[in-house]
Amino acid sequence: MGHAIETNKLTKYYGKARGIVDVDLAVEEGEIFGFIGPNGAGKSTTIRTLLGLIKKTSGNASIFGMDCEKDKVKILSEVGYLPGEVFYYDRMRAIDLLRYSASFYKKDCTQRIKELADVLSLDLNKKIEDMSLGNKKKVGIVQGLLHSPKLIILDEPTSGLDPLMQRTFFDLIQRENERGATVLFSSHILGEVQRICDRVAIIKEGRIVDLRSIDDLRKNSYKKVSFTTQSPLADFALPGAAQIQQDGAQTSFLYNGDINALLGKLAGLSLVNADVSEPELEEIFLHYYEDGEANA
Amino acid sequence: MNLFLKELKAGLKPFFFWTLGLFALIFAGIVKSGAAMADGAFMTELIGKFPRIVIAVMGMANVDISNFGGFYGVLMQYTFVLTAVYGTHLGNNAVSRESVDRTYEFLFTKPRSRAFILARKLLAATVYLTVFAALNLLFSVLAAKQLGVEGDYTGLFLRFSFSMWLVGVVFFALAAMFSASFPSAERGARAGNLAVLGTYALAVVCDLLEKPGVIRLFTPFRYFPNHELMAGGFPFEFAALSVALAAAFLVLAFFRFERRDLGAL
Repeated sequence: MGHAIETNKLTKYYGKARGIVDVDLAVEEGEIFGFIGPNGAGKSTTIRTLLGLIKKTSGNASIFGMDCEKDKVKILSEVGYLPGEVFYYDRMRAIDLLRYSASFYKKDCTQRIKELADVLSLDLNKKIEDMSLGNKKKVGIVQGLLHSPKLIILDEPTSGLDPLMQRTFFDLIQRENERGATVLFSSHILGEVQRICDRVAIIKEGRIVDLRSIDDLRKNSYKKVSFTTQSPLADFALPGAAQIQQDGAQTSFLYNGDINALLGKLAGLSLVNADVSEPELEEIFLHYYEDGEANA
Repeated sequence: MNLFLKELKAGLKPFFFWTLGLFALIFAGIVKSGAAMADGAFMTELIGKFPRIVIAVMGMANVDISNFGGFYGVLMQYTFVLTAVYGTHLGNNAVSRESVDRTYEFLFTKPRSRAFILARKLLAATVYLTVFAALNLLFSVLAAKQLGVEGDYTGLFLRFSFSMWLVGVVFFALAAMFSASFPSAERGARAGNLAVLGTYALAVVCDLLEKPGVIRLFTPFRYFPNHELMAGGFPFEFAALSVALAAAFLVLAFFRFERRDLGAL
């Protein structure tokens, strides 16, 4: 199977300001590919370069083997895009905007619009200016999917959706994927990427710092460990523990290693409280810098 | 609804207000022409006492406002400015509106080239500019008829309306080029408006000079001088220059628009 998206040393500078640097990505056809990084890392810049909204400084980008700049029109007929913030023509009703959107594709999307609106419980006759942020986002989802695209690009798609609607949305995306669509899912929330994606690329300060499968990420992912002992510990050390911080009787660290070794170590202490949780994304990125992998 | 119709619909409301302004200017102006012509000698004497620069700023240089043709020519100077500002607004809007409203991520991720989209937007704007000039002709004919102006001035109205359209098209294309060239919509719009102001100032300079020479080339407001249009002539060479300038500005607008980054401005 070929690549749905392929970039080779894709670089974008806004004047002297860094956008993305030497981004290499290869998204397989049919996969759900996560693209994760903190705000300002370069996720949207990468996506906008792929969509031809901004011009690359150097490098190459292709979608379904076609050049993102030269073959932009052909590519866009196969792409559905949902931006992080949705802005539409306020005076239009949702149905008018969606019909207008459908007019750009060579297919009848009427039935599909109705189906998607039903799934998302979207009132199509409402004016966009009268809609809540969540409902505008639903309009965005419908306009991104109404032409049954082969590639779906989602940039922070869940912002503004309530948890129930987020679940509906994820189900919808998974159904599109089962239909054969490739999905590029950009987010700064690790949990939602882990929930839906096959592989994930991690971007930090414009550069890809890691690329791995979700299974691998789960196996090798860091845990955030904190515990309180009855009396302060003089010193704490454990192979696989990083960023150890001690404050009186409280100790916290990030752990990547055998969970049994961790529990064994904790069992030997006189604990008052203990907590093992998923670390914040920023904490994971700190690890990349400390290990000198930022330029990997 | 396709892109062209959508653009026409979006431009309807501002067009209505600009047309209202044009209507008021022409009807109010032509009503005043009766008073001016009733005491023509006094008006000519009065205006003769004004400093020449004031006469030039008011667009009254080289015309005799004691007759209807002269008065109408002065009135048309104001409609030329009105059309230049409207044309600037249309050109700027066609290029920058989607970025200002942040709807660019919707429209420019559709399977159409930037040139295709910009061409439809500019075409819709040209339709409005053309109808605006046609309405100038219609309002002029109706106002003259309504107010019982003696004589047939249809040819004069036609020459002025066509000139007005050409001036509007030059500023429209110039504004489109500025908007496509500047990184911010605000700066693009400001450049377009400054161009109107600057070229009007140059028109005043032209009127102050006995022989403006090449300066005239730099101000579309003096491509179609009152006295020449009133005498029944029409400067075809300046009409051709207007078309050539507009075409060059539009080519540059397309060129710059194709290469720019699209984003919220």
